[in-house]
Amino acid sequence: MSAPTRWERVTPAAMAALLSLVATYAVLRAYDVLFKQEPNPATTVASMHIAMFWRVGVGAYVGGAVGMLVWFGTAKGGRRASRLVVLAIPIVAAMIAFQGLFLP
Amino acid sequence: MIPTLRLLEHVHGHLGWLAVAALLHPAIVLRNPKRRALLSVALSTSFVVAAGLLGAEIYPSYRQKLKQGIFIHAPTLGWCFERKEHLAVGAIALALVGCAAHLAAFRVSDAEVGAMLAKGAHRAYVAAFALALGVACLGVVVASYRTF
Repeated sequence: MSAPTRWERVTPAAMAALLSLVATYAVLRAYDVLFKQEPNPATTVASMHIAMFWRVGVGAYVGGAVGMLVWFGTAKGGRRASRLVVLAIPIVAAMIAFQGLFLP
Repeated sequence: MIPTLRLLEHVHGHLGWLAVAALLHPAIVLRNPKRRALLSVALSTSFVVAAGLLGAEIYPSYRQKLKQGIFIHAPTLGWCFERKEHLAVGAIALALVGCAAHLAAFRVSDAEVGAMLAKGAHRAYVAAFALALGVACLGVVVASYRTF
């Protein structure tokens, strides 16, 4: 079997990074809603801390780490990683849809 | 004269609906894994990303000027806006996932990997379209209640 091309390594890594970002975002927000007492937005003047941007930032950090792991994991071939990221797409989409709709 | 924030909000809304319409195309045509749709993929993803960046630009002003008032007078709509922003993160990321998968599907040497990526591109665009449609509908509901 020939060595994987750059596309076979970069693409699953990039896809895994983006999917990890979304999954992390959904988990962080679900955790906030379920386990933290948040102030009522009607009684709160806007603060400098924008939680959504913060969650995207944390998600990007996790995504970067996952992306690098996938990159190293595809050194011998990208089949397994590609299969896993393609499988993860509907799962992550369902996660963000569920969190967005039921745990805003 | 239209205030700048209101103008940006209107552009954001129209761009968002254009993105929804554009995302429908790859969501349909990429059912065929051998179909190349580079222009469609590039344009639809660009629309989604542009709408998202514009939304991120006006989001701090929404928090400062509108959010509290909406939650006081119509909390249900306030929560609709919160739902919209969460779904938008998913729509943008999944469109980018689909774009990456489609761009790579015809460039990899391993045919099996190419077929998997083509399938992934279709899945990602279908999900991005569904999420973006929800975002756009919720956006209209909130924007028709209060604007800058």
